Amino acid sequence: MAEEKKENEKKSQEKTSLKVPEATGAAVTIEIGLAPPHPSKKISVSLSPGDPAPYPMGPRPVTGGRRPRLDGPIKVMGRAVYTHDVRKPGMLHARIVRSPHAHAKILSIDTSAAEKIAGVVIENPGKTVVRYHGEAVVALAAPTPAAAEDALRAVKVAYDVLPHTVSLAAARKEGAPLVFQKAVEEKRSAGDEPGEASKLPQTGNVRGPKNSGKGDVDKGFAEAEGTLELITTTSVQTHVPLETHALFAEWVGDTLEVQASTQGTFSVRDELAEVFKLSKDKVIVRAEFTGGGFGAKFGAGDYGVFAAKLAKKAGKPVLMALDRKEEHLSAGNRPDSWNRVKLGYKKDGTVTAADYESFGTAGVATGTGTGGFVKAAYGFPAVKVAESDVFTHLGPGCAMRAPGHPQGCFAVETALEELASRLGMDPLALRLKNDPSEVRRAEWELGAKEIGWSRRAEISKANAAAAAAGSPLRRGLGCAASIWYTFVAPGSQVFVRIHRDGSVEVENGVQDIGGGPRTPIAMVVAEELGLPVEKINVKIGDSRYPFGPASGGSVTTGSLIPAVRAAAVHARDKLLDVASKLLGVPASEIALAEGVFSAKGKTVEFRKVCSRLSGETLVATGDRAKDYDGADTRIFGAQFAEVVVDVETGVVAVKKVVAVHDCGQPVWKTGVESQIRGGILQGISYALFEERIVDERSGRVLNPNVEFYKILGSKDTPEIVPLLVDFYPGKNNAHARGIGEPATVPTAAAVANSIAHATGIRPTALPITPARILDALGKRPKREVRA
Amino acid sequence: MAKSPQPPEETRDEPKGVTRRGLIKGIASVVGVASAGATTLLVEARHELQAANGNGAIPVSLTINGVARQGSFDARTTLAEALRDAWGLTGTKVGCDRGACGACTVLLDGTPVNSCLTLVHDADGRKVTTIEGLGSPEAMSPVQKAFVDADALQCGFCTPGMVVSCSALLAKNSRPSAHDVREAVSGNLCRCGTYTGVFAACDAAAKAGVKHG
Repeated sequence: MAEEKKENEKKSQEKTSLKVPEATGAAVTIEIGLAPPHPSKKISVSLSPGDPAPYPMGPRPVTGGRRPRLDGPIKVMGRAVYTHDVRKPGMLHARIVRSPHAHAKILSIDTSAAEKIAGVVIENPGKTVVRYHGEAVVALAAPTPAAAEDALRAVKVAYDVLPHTVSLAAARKEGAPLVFQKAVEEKRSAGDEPGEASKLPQTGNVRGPKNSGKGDVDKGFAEAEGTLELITTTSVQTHVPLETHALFAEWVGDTLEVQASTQGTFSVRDELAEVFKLSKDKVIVRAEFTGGGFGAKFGAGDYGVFAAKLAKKAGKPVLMALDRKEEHLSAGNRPDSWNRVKLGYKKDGTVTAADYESFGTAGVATGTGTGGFVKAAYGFPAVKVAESDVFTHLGPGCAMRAPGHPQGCFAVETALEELASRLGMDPLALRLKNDPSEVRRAEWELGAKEIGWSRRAEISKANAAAAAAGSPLRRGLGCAASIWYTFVAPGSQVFVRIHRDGSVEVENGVQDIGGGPRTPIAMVVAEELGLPVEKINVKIGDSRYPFGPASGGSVTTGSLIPAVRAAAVHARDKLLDVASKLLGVPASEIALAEGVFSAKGKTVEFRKVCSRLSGETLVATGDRAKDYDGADTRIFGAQFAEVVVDVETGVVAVKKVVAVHDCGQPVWKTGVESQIRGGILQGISYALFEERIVDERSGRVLNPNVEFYKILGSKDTPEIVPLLVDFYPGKNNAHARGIGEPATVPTAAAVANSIAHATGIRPTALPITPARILDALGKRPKREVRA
Repeated sequence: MAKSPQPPEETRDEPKGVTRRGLIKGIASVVGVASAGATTLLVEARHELQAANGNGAIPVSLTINGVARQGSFDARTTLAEALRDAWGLTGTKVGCDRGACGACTVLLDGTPVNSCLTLVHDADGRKVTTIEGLGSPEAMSPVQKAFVDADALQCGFCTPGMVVSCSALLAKNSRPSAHDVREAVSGNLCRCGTYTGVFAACDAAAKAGVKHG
């Protein structure tokens, strides 16, 4: 293995000089596409000044490999300090008084009893109306958690309860209680699919439709030999990061210093700067370790602003950490959805047109559209999409891992499965008929082989035999496609600092929410500098470092890694100049590997070169250059699931999931595979278990916890096989792309389709609970429902 | 799965009225009452417990990671709070504060318990092992090392609880089956989806012949 690495290193050194041409806008020819045996394509691109040319096809010594994560030891020892863990002398613990009602006028707020408790400070924004169960009314802080609980209890709020509406169906009806009296403008957070932040028509609680599409839909339906229409629904999913939303705030002079459990060090900084009218240099945000986010942790949040206000008032540091109930009620969720999909098709399985409509509730927020998948996933020639938000008196939805896409994938992939069944086609053959993507076609092929798709007919026979024998277990195979997009956070920048003693620091403000950016950053730098990965000291999670992306939209890797590589290459160039003087050889002839610069039989150690730097520290900057030409900006994936269903109990056991994805050139394969596993497990959880339950009469959420809001656990975990296609998309110097979101898009649909194969039912509502399966099988006794 | 703490074999002086039974009774008495605010049932129970015991801190002494510790706490204080707030042992995480996620798992006389459901006074005179007691920066425990090697962690917030549960399993059962491992961490929720890594890590640590806890 090590020798192989050395061999590769040698080869790459033989080919070209290490020095990067300083020419501006240099035109180079790059090779893009799938690695051999697939055909690739050579294209000419213009590089930004100073940007190194992209990796050529072929293995590299460090990047693309597997290794343990660098911050693994500190995490497994319990020594990583999350926001929940910040403890400072004199700090206060904050709590929020929240509305028990779905909709109410606030008549009075009496904080006098709370204020009598020693050390309590109160922040009362003077709200007059609340629009959801769990909405913040008053915030307070006290010297101990217990005193804060006592103060919370002592605040008396009088409400005049107003009529509410809490379900998609009820809120759409004419005459439903209005959530907003005036038209609401769309507020989108980072990580959402970008759309026109437009003013849309608003009628009652319905905002929209937002219309979009491509091709001539009328023509497509006119050419169709048949049409198929079905409706799917999905439930509200909550993010459930293990660390709830939290923010620690302290005023040091006129500077606001914060540690936040966030997906966006810089988005929190910018929001706090705006709220408190501070310049950006007067807000410092740290986020070295964040206990999960999944899309819900981009801003400072009302809780964070409260923390900073309380800290100012008290003149003391304040920690605000939501409890699990507050997290469920107020901190975001994936909106529910109602989706109608109509396909026009030819008898050979070709889809000629799609007409798609969605309604969804994000409570008091917007952004429920699910039409992205139908437009982008397959080669449907004509697509019409109409998406509408429906306001309800419930906590705000927000971005959640691939916003809108698991919902849209479930709708479209269910329709395709139904179409295959109607036409008597193999479901995979039908998909191939509609899939022009070369990358995805390679993925279908790999995945089908790994899951054993050819067993499908045999399994159907075995199921029929089991039914005849009165056995309750049925097996099924299903598949679904993934689609996502390459987004880039422009302005991402990296500093590499090399000190005279040879130590190397890499700085970027990016946070670690679990994706583990420290490790791939170190791998890229180690490779360029010819040093061991452990020797690279990666410093992240601080807004004083150069700008890094928020972890949303799967942008982190694609935005950061090319900048890291550019910085490392620039640092190496400067070292080469020093080495050149020491060796008396032109820089272009010098090789660098395993801590040694060498040329013409002469060598000088990395450390020695560093000791001859002109300044104490060499600082090199890497900018994220603009994307150039390359492959499709869509990220393709395909997943297959195998399930066993007990048709007597309705219980589903997912046995295996095979996931084949395009992640461009992965930097750190271990992390990519972990992300894929996580996306799949969240997808299975979404398919089978997760459902926020709301009492329509009181408007209250009934399961804001993790014992009745069920998420997947150890016993529900199947065998997972993550596979990557070896793909060189171009676009940036590292062929870098994200993976966090693509991995969760198709899982629920693949599970649903495998349940369909196993049982013959067509699941159209998520989660696919045992009750729903038994209902569909006609095996659940009808119960009388009392009025 | 974290189990309820077992009563110690020897009789000991219990602080007046402060028992786990008291906490459970407290929970039972409020179960029928609709929780109006954003507080949890458990918070209600602890409030009642506090009211029943009157104000004032009650002394407690216990052994944490081999070190004798003393403190004085309100009757309602959980072991998790005492560890994190009083003794700075923040490796023990609180994910749900009601015994449903397992992030707060510690060993109480060698048995895994949810420290958010254990009152600090119930740990009086007993031995507590937290994640910080299982390994040091200089020497990770074999289970910790196996977690790193198998990438059995992502954000890392559930990880200390997972490591404690796996360590407890291996201390009792040096050759656990796949089912045993799933059972042992069935009370530990992970949202990043690291379970397959946890299974692999536990398996690797078992094969390496680990026994500790």
